Parts: sequence; structure tokens; C-alpha cells
Amino acid sequence: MSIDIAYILESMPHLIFGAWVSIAIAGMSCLIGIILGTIIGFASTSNTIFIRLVILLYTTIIRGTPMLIQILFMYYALPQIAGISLSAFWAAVIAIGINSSAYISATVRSGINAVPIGQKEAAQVLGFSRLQTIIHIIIPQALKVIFPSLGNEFITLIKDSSLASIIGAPELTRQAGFIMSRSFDYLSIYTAVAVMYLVLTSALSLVLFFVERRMNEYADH
Amino acid sequence: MKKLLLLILLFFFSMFFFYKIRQCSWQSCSVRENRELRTLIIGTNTEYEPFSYVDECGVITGLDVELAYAVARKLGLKPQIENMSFNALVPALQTGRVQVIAAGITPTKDRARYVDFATSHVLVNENPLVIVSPASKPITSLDALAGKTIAVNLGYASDYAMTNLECTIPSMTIMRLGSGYINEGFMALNSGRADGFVAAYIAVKPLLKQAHESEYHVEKISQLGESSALVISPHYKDLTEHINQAIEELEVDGTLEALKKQFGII
Repeated sequence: MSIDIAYILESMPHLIFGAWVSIAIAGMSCLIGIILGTIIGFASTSNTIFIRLVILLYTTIIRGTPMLIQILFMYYALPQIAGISLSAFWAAVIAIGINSSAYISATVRSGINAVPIGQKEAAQVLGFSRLQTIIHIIIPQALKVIFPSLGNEFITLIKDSSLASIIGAPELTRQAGFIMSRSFDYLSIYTAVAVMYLVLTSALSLVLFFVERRMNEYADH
Repeated sequence: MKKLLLLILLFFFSMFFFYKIRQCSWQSCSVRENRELRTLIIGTNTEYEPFSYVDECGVITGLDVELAYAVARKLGLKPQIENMSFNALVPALQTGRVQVIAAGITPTKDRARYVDFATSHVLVNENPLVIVSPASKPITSLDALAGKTIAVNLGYASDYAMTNLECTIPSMTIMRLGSGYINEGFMALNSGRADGFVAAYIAVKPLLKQAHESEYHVEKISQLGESSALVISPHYKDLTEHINQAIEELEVDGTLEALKKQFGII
């Protein structure tokens, strides 16, 4: 059994559409993950034990359950429990975003801890408020530390977005499933899909590499 | 600390070896027997009662499975059944790891480009499609599907039929369920994500019995149906002729009809 290139090319428009949806799911869930993860990351450095406990519970639950189950829960259980009926696309984006936030929060916290305590103390002495300290002093310095991890997270999310196929969001894996159900040519299409994911993640790694280098150049001056 | 590390390492190593040993014995046996063709390796996915399912005693059975057994006996081969998920089944067939799929699969022209089909043993008129809808909001005809969201299982005959009708029925939305479980259609109905669920009558019958039958309205669409056939690996093309001959013989001697009666097809 060989790989049918002609058939792959014939199916390409569907697969490319799927790849765009995959990027959209990964991008939006990454955005949710970064925003939510940053808030949680800062909150986890709070002095209040109650806040820290709530966050510990949140990250334990999210990190301790499979993403696949979270996506299914968001799509099938939420309409029955809370009456919120999200489309497959948004259910996937929110489920993956929430999942990602739990991981990003740990990255953000390590970034915050990497900023020397003297910086925070100096800001206090200069009369910065707590919020001003976070925005002007801590985030710019922490960002440099956490940026590579955030980039990796985005690349991971591109691959994770394939789980959204289970609820029928029209991303790359799902489009491939549709084509394969029609022709039964699993080998060609699975190969094409693997190559497409590889191209996506490699291209992103390259972009991140250059961005990172620019950031370091800027920091060296 | 070092001891703990050692213990963890040991654990993973033992897991790896265990896996390796299992894999080796399984591979060598299937490859060796394949070459000599003493066995017929039958792939199935036991999620499609009454075509392929696990009965109360935990035995894999069903119309397609029993037919494949009968065919193997006719050919003088020892049947060996491999139960796997649907998405693994077809690649296994393409690579020759299984020789035949017996899982109520519908033959189509597109699929025939990549795999071989035996003669259909269930015909379109024997297995009509039905529209299942909640009894409170029943769908009573094909025309009533206009403006509704209709769930179908991805790649099933109902998916093909509804895709063909998409242009003629105004503003019907098709929701294609991809998990490979027929009961996902009921999940879509119950969660209110779909207004109707189109599937083959014989396949939804066992599920309707499990659920409260009175909660659903079932409407037969007489002009549409689902046929099924055994699928043969492209690596074993020469098997097709023999299998077709065996099926013909089973049809003549009444075995096929008896099997169909046993599983409630006719």
C-alpha cells in the first residue's frame, strides 16, 4: 500500500481549512491561557492563604484530569448542568484555554520569582503602588524569563487542538477524519496530516527563535 | 532518595520489558501465520450491535462476525478475531495486519479505490434508515427535516444519505458525530444539540430497547437504507474471489438466512 499523492492534493483544500481552524483554536485558547494564567500566577504569590488554597484546588483539578474529558464536559455536560450551550469551536477554545491557564500560571509564578526581590523593594521605596509595581517593574522583567515557555505552550496547544475533533470542531484532525470516512485511505491522509502539523509547529518554532533573539539583543544593550 | 529513584527506574524498565515481550509474541505469531495463511485474521469493532458486539457472556458475536467465521470455515482457515477502535481498524487493514473487517461496513465507490469489498450480505431494502426524534417534538417525514439540526454518525450510510439530501432539503444542518459510537446520536438528542438522529433501523433497535422507547419517535424512511459487506485487505486481493464464493455458498445453503434471522435482520 503506497501513499496516494494525487488524493492528498485533491483533499488539500479541506485540510488547509482545518489547519486554519487549528491555528485559531490554539491562538485563542493560548490568549485565554495567558490572561487567566497571569492572573492566577500573580494570585498564587499572594499572602492570603485562602486565595492560595483556591488556586491550588483549581490547578490540581485542571492538571489532574485529561484535556479530552474537559472538552467533552464543556460540550455535553455544561448545557445540561448550567444551560450554557457553546458551539463546538468555542467549547474547545474555552476548555483548552482553561487547561492551558493552569500550566501557564506555574510558568508565570516562576517568572515572578526570578525577578530579584530588590526590584520590588526599590519600587516600593520610590512610591509605586502594588499594581504599578506589577505592570512597570515585574512583568517586563518576568516576561523575558517566561517568553520561551509561553512559546512552547503555544506549540503544544497546536497539537492539543486535535482533541477538539472529538466534539466536531472542524480543525485539521477532524477534517482528516471526514475525508478518511469517505475514502478509507487512512495511510495517505494520516501522513499528510502529520506533515502539516510538523510544518505548523516548525514554522512557529522558527518565528519564536527569532523573536527570542531580538529580545535578548535588546536586553544586552 | 537514590533508592527511590532506582525503584522508579526499575518500575519503568519492567513496564517496558513487559510491553516488549507482549508485543513480540503477538507480532511474531500474526506475521508467521499470515504468511502460511492458516488463519483468517478478522478485524472488528464491537460497537455496532447486531452486526458486531460483545454478548452477555463477553463473547464477540454479531451477524458480520459470525458470517466471517462461517467464511473462514468454508475456506479451511482458523478464524482469529481482533477487536479494535474503528479508526485503527482501517489502517490495520491497509497495512495487512488484519485481512478482513467484519463490522457492518457500507461499501461505496470511493472506498473501493483503496480497499476491496465482498458481495454485500445485507441489502439496502433489508436495513432501512430511520429518523429518531424526541417524542415531544417528533419529526414525521423527510420534508420535516427542513430547518432542523440532524445528527448522523460520520461515515455511516445515514451520513451519505443526508449529505446527498442537503441540497434538496432547505436549511437542514448536518451534525456529524465522530466518536464511532452509535449511541452518541442519543447523547446529541438528549443534550438538545440535535433535533433528530438519522441511523440504520437495525442498529438503533437495541439502543431503543435500553432507553425508554416511549421517549422517542421513530420514523422509517423507506427509500433509504444501509447495506453492509465484509472488507478485504488490499494485501490479500486474491482472498476476495474465495470469500465471495464462500458467501454465495452460504447463501445457497441457507446459512446466511439463518444468521440474519438469529440477529433479527429479517
